[in-house]
Amino acid sequence: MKGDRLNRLRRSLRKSAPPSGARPATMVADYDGIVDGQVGRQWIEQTPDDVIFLDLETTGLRADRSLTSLIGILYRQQDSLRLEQWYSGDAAAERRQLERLQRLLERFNRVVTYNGNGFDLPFLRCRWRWHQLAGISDGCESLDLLVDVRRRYRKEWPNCRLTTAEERLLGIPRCSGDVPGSEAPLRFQDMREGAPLSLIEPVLLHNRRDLISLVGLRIELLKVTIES
Amino acid sequence: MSSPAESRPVDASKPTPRRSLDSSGLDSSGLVSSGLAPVPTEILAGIRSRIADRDELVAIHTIEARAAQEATEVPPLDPRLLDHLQSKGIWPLYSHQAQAIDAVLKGENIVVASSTASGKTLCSTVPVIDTMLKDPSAHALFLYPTKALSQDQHRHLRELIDGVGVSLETGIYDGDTEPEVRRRLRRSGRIILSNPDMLHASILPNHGGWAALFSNLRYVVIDEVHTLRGIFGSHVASVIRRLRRICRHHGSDPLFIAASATIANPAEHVERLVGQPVRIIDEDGAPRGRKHVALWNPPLVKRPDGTRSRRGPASVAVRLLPELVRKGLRTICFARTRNGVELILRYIRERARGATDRQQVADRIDAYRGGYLPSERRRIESKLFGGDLGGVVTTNALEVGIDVGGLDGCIVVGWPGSVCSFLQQAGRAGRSLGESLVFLIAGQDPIDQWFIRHPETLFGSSPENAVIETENPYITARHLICAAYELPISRADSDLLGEQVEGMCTVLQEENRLREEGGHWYLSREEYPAAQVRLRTASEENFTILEIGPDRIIGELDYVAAMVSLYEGAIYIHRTETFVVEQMDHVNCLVKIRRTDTGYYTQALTQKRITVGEEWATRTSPGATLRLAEVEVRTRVTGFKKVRFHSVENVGYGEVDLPPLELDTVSHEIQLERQTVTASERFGSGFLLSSMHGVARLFRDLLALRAMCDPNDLDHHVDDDRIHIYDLYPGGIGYSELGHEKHEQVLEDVLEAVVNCDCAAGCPACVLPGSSRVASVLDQELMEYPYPKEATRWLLHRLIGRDEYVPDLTGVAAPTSPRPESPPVLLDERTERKVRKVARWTMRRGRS
Repeated sequence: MKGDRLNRLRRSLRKSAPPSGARPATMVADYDGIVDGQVGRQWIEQTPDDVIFLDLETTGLRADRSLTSLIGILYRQQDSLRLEQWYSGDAAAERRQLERLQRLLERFNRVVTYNGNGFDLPFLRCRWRWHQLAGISDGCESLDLLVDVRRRYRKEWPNCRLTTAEERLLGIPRCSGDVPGSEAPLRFQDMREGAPLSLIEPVLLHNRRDLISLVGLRIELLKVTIES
Repeated sequence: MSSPAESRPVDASKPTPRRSLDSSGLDSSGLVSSGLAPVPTEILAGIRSRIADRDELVAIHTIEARAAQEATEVPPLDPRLLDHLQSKGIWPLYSHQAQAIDAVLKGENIVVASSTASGKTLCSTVPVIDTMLKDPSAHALFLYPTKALSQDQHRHLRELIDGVGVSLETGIYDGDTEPEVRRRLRRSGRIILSNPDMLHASILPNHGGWAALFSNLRYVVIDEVHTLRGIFGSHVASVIRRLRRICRHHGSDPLFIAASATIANPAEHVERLVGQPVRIIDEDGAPRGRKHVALWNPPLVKRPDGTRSRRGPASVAVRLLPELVRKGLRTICFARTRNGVELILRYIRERARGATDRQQVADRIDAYRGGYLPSERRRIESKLFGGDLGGVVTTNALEVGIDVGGLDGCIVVGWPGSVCSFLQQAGRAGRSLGESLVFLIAGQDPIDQWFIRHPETLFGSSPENAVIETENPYITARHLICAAYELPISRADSDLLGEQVEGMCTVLQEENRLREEGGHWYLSREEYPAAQVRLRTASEENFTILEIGPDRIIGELDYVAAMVSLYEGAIYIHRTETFVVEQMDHVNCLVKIRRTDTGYYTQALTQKRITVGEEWATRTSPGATLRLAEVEVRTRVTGFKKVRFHSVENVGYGEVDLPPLELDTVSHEIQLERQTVTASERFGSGFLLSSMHGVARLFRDLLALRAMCDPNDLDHHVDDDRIHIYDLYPGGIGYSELGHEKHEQVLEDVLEAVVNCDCAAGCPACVLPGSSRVASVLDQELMEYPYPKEATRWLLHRLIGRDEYVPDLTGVAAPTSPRPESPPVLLDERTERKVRKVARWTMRRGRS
């Protein structure tokens, strides 16, 4: 295209563009660390090293129009538990994180989630597909703890939320500062419009707690199964 | 596979069963003796000897009958479908239907371009349903240009599916669809009927929710594909490329089945639209009765003030339509404007008053136009289809698609604007057996009168080309952003999104709309880009028309139409009753009207003004300064005239204060040099204005040719010493830029067109102003200037820098419009645009 015409095209595009939203300040951020102090020794010992715990935070419930904003994973690394949180601020960053996740999952045989069959895994599959990535292999089995909790406690408990399961099975109430999971999309939205990274710190904390609870829940549910 | 049935009466009506006339209730009223079918030839002869004097029926052209060509080899269809077609008498198929079905089932894209009522619908529905019967996962998408058409076609599709006795979920997915239905269709709809706008703005961006459809999409059916032209068509071409990319992502590769009215280039048009080779089926195997096409020029009458002028075409139609209906011809009458429709019906009813037999006839005639409520339209359609109505007056609303059964007569009141349109309207009349009659009643416009003098050009004419531009950067750039929302874009997409995809994405990245990472382009910010791209320029907002008193809604009108016909004080005519507009609520798009008996109707007076904004480029050229600039085009209704029914006397004026219709676009402005203006003065008044109009109009048409765009996408305006040629698209779309760059070459083309035209002093093919009614009311001086061709040549010589041309202002004068019997009608936008297009058609014929 000739230079003049190109410039005019640019002008026309600028004119027709909506008032520009600020670019997200942060595209990718990783949090990585060893979990200690919060879990007992026996939890670590009873966690095999072919199991990975997974919890997603997303910008919305519909995978075809939302992003995986935060991938939280937890797995055993030698004598400790390693927890990683990968943040992505836009679709391009999401692709990078999803590629990493795909590679990481190859090392494990089971993915443990809470409602993963209903939400996290279909969401991930949809996003992998959107990015034309191969995604999770069939060798990796899903262990959705919500399925077990529902089967066992649906009639006894008022509901089967993760917080309820934590209280009843692990005896730990959520602390008061916790943000409800439903608020996460709003905060991610603010982030994408330029808010500082500190805004999602409560979401990171929430995600971290969920992951750690999954470790305990898996063990408790296993015990109950063996007892009965 | 059973062999074609032995012999079936050829008139056993296909594609839809039609009633024969004597069962339509006519004989019960005693209007037609003994139930014999009327013979159009006799009726025509009768009219010739009685109503019209010999000079009025200028030409009668007879199209001979043609026998049905039935398919000898038939495609292997599912027995259930075959049984149904046979039981309905739609068997054997006509040759073109069999060819089409066969080609589709063999995996070819097709476009069916046979005549009106030749059973085109079956060419798409039969292969689609056959595939669905064989493959329970197959899905199909049907696209129609209008909502009304998808309603109509859905009913036919349902009849066929239910007739076959198969359970297939189908439905219309458009802006009016209820949320529950939307969910049901996304989940389990096998055939989705929609429109290109909805596909673009809703279905494609949410393709994840439509996985069932896109994973198994076998067919995309595009109906009335000739309407997808110009800027709208170019947008749709981009949408279809996005559709194919989404299909590929979900693992399907659908075939395209298109149906087109008669245009010059159906195969080329559809190939450009879908970006794949397409097989054309244009042989027509449907039987056709003999058809007479008569050109009628209304007589010149002497007025009380001594002047002579031609009767308006509507006044002829007012007598002719009841005459045909009384004789038993089911007749459709096309008027150019909505108001024209209402006036014709009103006058017919008035004439019938007091005479029982006339009234019986008039009661069997009704009006049908855009703006009626869907329920009212349905009622009229079914009355017409069932034979309760003998005649209908309509606008081009009934030109496309809507099936009203077999008609025997057609009256076209005034040239409809294009050959394509005329053929569509004329094609509405005609049965498989028996004769039909078509009347074209000429208006006072030069173009109408030109066809009266050259009827052979009408009968021998080929319809216009449909033009789209698939690589317009203004359009493709916007659709790339939409595509990036749907799926990341990569180089691999260049086979669908175009070779320039990488370069364009880079530009979009620099403009901060896309962001590249690892070979993929993503949206660079949070947005829903499809919402910012409109495929059509006209607003889809509708005004609701509410009658105060009974407080009932009697109709709705689109925004542009409402702006020029509804204002406080305006008279709104609805099926012969008059209402006065009391209040316009622009916020809620509500018009409040009150029933009032008036002896007048109203006509808006409009004014167009162009304000030049930022200049993009300036240069001088012989005789003029050229500017490429942003402009604001404002069309404003400044007031209205009150016009008495029948006598068309002006009985008063009213003022209105309405927001103008605004278009921000780009214009190629030609400002004449001072010397040019002064030099023209010696040729008298009207000379310069006429020359500028001549140049402007041809410049626009020839630029359209060069830009490969539809002339409807450009407009021109003459103001003082300036000619504007501008894009009819918000923000501009690159055509006027091309005009600015190629100014000299386009002018050479214009000169060649003027010089090579066979006419003496000017004709619609070159520079006759009346055929280009840009403004609703052109200057009287301009309309009556006798030597437009000479004036245009003179100006062209100056603008090209040739030696002075000496105009001959003494020869034969160009036909001027006689003083019209009725004031110039404010044309609805569509007709106005079409009228202008004809010039291109005739001109190109002249040159080839």
